[in-house]
Amino acid sequence: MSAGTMSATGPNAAIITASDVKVTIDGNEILRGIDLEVNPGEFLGILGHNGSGKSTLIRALMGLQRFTGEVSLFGTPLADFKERNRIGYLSQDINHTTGVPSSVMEVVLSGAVANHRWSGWPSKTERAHARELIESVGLGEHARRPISELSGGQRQRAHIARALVGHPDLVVMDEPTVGVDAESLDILAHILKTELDRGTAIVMVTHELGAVRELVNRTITLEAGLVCDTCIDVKDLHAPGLQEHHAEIHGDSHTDQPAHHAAELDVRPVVTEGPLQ
Amino acid sequence: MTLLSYEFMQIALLAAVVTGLTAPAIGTYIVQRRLALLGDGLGHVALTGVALGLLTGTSPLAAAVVVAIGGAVVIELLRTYAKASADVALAMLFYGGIAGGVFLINLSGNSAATLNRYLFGSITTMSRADVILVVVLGAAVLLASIWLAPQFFALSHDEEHARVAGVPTRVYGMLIATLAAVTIAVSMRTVGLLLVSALMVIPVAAAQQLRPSFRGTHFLAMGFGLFSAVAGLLVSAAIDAQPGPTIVLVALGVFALAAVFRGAKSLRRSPEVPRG
Repeated sequence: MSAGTMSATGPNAAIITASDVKVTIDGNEILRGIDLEVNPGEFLGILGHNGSGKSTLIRALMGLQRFTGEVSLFGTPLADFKERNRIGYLSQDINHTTGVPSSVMEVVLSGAVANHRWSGWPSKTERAHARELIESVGLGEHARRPISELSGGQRQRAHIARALVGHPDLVVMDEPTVGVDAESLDILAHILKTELDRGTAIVMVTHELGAVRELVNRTITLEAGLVCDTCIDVKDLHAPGLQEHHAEIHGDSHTDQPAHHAAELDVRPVVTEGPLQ
Repeated sequence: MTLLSYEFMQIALLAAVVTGLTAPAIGTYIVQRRLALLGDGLGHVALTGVALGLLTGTSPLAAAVVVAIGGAVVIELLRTYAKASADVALAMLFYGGIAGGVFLINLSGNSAATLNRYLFGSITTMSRADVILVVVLGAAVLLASIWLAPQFFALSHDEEHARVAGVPTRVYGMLIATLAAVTIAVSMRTVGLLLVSALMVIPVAAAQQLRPSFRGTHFLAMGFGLFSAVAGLLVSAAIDAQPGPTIVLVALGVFALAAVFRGAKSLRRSPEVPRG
């Protein structure tokens, strides 16, 4: 445990504590030292360009990517963390249009496998909960259809239901809004609101907050593998007139970066503290 | 049928039942993991096991099981740890398997006819001891593929999600490859090492034409596999052909029928346009 690195709530209360997380892939430094803390009931947005390292960061937090540094989940070092049912994970670009058909129900129910890691079948309660979630993401009539026949937005809703089926205390999502239609975005925002009300912490990597902007407590922006403390945060996004500025900085074009960002890249910044709203 | 009163035929039939059920039972996961050609590779590697068995005077079947499992372990390790260079390494393993197998069989003084029996199956060469081993190992594969279905499904459908959920993905990835290796070894007398992989893939491809779910596909594929193996064996015995090619042709026929049936069905309900 890296005690005392972060906020006033203390490391014991934190759901995720990360300190000095570094990732190097094929000689490229993707993450160059990230400190991070996520507290119960908090919705953290991780923003940044393509290639800024935001997906790599949550892959490291989930144990999917080798890293140096320290990560604890629910107060337990990642390597020893066993309570996997407390995490709901939604990875990027899930595309299962080939292979053997899998029904929406089967995919959603596979989220309960965290309760049966070595063996065992889903219980009746888990099946009922999966059915409820499928209804609540608006896929009730599609429960028995192969997931490959659904639209991108519908598939994503099914994967969100899968992430929630184990009643997680932490939901981690990598770009859940990419290529998703407006109806699905509304449903996503509604579902996440319900989860926040339950006290679930949410971490979401995204290009843009869009439909969930109102729900987010705090954002960090990654730039070239570091947390950027001078980047525009979510509070400023709510202020009129600044959204254009944000688009300029966070748009897809890398060419017109304000000069001070580049100048500050070598300075090791810290996570923006506390809720912004 | 008088043919069925011969003990060799009863043994062959029992082996065909085991092969027909187990190959698609594990094949469904293999197809879902997009490793349809894994079976081919393992079949090549198993040939070296057969040759070692013949050369040392031990059971070719037992030797094939051991060598195929070893091959499966190496393949999984290569896939996991040498992703970039795994492709060529796997190809070399497969070529090495078949070259080594044929070379050692020649060395052991066995004829091309012996080799042919292992490559394409034969109904007359299995002993009682062999069939007991086939039934025991086949039952183990079948049991594992059904008992561990939720974990195997989670792993095969979305490996990263399964890892985050805490499923022991490395262990179970290895187990699936090992079960495939065992299946290939126990199926070699029925369909032969060069065609065994067809029975892991074709019944699954046929079943997925007709079933919208993984579980439905899994069980229907086992049904199609069973039918293909038994019908193919009986036809091959009746016309004195090798069982492997006959079984695979029957399986392809089942696939063609399933595809036609699906086509007709989707024409009938064409107003319902799939979304996305």
